[in-house]
Amino acid sequence: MENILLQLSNGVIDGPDDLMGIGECLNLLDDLEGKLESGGPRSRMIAKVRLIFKRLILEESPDRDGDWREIQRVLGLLQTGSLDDGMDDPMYGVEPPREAVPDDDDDFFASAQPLSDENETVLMEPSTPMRAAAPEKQGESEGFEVQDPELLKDFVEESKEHLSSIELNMLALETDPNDNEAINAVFRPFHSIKGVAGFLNLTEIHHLSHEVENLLDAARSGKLAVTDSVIDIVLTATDILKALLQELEQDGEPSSQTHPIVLTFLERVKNFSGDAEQDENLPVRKIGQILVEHGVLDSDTVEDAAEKSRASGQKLGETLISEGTASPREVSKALREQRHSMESASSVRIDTHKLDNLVDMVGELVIAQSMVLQNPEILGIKDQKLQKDSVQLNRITAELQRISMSMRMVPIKSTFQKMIRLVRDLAKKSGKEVTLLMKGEETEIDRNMVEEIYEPLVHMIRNSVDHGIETPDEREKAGKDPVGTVEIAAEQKGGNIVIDIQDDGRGLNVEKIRSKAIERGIISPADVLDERAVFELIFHPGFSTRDKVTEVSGRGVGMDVVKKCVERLRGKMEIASQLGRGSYFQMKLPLTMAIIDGMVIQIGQERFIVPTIALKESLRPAQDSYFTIQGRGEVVKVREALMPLVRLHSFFNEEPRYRNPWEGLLLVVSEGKHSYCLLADEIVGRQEVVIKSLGGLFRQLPGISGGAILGDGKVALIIDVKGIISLYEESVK
Amino acid sequence: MAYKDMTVLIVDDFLTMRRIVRKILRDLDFENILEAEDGSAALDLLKVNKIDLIVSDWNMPRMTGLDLLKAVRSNDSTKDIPFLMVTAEAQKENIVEAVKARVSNYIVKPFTAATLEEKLVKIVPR
Repeated sequence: MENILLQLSNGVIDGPDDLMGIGECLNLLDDLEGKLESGGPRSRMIAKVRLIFKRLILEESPDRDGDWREIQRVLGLLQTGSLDDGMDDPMYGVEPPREAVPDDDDDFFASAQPLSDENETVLMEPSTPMRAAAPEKQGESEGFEVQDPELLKDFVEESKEHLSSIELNMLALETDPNDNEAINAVFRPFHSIKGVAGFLNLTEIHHLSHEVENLLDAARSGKLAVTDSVIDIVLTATDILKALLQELEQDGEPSSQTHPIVLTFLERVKNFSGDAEQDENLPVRKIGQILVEHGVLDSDTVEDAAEKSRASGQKLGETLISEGTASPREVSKALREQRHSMESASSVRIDTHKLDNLVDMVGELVIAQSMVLQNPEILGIKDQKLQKDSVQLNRITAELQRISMSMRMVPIKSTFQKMIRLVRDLAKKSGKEVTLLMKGEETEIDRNMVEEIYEPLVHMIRNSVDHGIETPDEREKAGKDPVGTVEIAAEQKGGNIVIDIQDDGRGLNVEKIRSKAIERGIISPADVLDERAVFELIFHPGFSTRDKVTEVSGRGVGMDVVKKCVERLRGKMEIASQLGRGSYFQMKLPLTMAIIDGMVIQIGQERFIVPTIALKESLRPAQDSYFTIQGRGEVVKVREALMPLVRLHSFFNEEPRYRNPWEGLLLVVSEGKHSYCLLADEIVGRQEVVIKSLGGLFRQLPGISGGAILGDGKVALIIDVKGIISLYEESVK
Repeated sequence: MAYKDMTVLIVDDFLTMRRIVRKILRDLDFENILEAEDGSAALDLLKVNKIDLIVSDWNMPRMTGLDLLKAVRSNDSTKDIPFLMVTAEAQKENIVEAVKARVSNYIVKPFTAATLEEKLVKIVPR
């Protein structure tokens, strides 16, 4: 402490304009305070002096001279108080006053020591330099001479760009009003637009963005909860700003008249912030709260510290650290958590074709590598170094493959976010209240798939809101929360992306679906279907259970489209539902469309690949479970269920090693409401393969969806299960 | 040093804002003006250029002006570079934090060449 006081007295401030000096002085005061017993008279003094410093820094002091005297008085008292800590000459320790004194006033330092009225004359002086800085404030109302059509054009362009990001982030906020990073991301463009508009004399834009900025600043600092009306105000402001920018772009200069819409809006914001500020509801997770959650502190300690930090004008974290109640590490960890930093670092734009080429070439590299390494000549070499080096090579190419794949991956977030507006609009139209929950938005997905999953996702969400969720009345009668919930969740599971769409609505009605399907001739009344098979019926083209077609969805198309899309992506759909409780749809998609996880099977001399995702199981049946049924052909009984036997070799004109199913191997796949057994000779292995589309003549080959190069360099065809099944069905007919 | 011999670095994420500041600096006879669109780009420029003055916006994504200031001050080769923080009236409150992090001075948007000049006189030795 002695040391600190000594430093304070050593003249850290050069002159009144030396903010750096003031800063150092403030830091010394912080250090000093850290050494003091908290809540004591001296720490109260420091808090006071700090407030006055702040006023001076901000050029907001109503009475600079008075403030100046006060600083000295308090600092003097501080010094006196520290006598017992071993300061010999406390009077000389009063350094901070120098900050506001002109440089040349060397005498001031000496004259500052007595804490009486004597130094009044000297203390008058600070007002001069302080006043010099004042014009900048008036500047705001002055005209700014930056007038440049080019700048104006740039401004319009750039602002528009930023405004589009506002909309996206607003949608994020709508789901999570406490997402501080999103608030910041919305705040920033308004801030920037306001800043530039000020320079360019664009009064309306300036005012408008200024108001919104204030509003968001309050939200940012936790003073204002991000409610629907806040979101609405920001979205409205965005729309108005866009219109103003549009006009600016057309006219090349700001309109001389004020737009009534702007006035109305400003009025609204003014009135709004009035009552919203009373809102006690703090949207931002407080540092204290996080620390309590981490088990670092109990809530009483936090409250005490919060009290103190309010009194001292310090941040809570600072108070906690200086009191030693929390370590800097714990606080910074909490801060980090609070900030939840934006995941994106700097980035470059790359043509997606280049990216695709890269991924392809890396795929080729992996294959070429295994061709080389599996070459019998090479395998014959018994050299340790070669073995070690090939392991290293393997590691590098695997990593290279992983990285190049990841370059094509984007978070599913933006796709999910589009659903927010959709749900909002749908709910509004159908007079329902629906909350959309999202999970796993950070899950990454091949960018080529992003667009592909959009449509099925929209259909499913529509389905959930329109068919699943009941009206508030119905819900209340059923003893449910009148506000329905739809949840979409994404997750990476193994080599798949799993997207779940769940609602807490009325659920699927098995009986209703059944009778509808019979009515539509999709099934016959004699068909015995288990629950799951009944659910599958809704994927049938032209199926709609809704009694009347609504404006928003049910046009008879829908779920069948979903299924088609998902299948095109080599994915799979699952349904579960409980009557009255809600429905659950799962889309299981491969991570990327460029690579599939495949089962390599042998049929005669050839190898084929069956996408693993299509397989339910593989088995070798007992001889007595194989039958031929009149009118249905060959079937295999798998646990009480009869499944048609599909001889793959017959479709590919191969001479198989085994013609009897009990000698070969059966792959069970399901298609539509039925399961089938595909007969192969054997399973060779399971591996990830890079899909190559087949050129020219082979492109439209039924039953084949592409080719892949296997580890030994040979090509294997990828079986299109759906195609094979329809080939089979045709052949049976 | 005359303004025209100094190298100044403008840091702002908003392109138009950088242009405006550049224009105002030109009015004050600055000739060597570098721009960075965020804190990390600024730090990169600082590594390879001799910078005599930094004019940085406070509110930037990822790395704020304050973070940049702290980074500049904590590096021996850059710690003495005059650092002028550009802030907005509404965010002026925070400037105390910057003062503690040893900002040279600050200026409130929007400002004129004259105001900037006033601030520069205080922090840049001529």
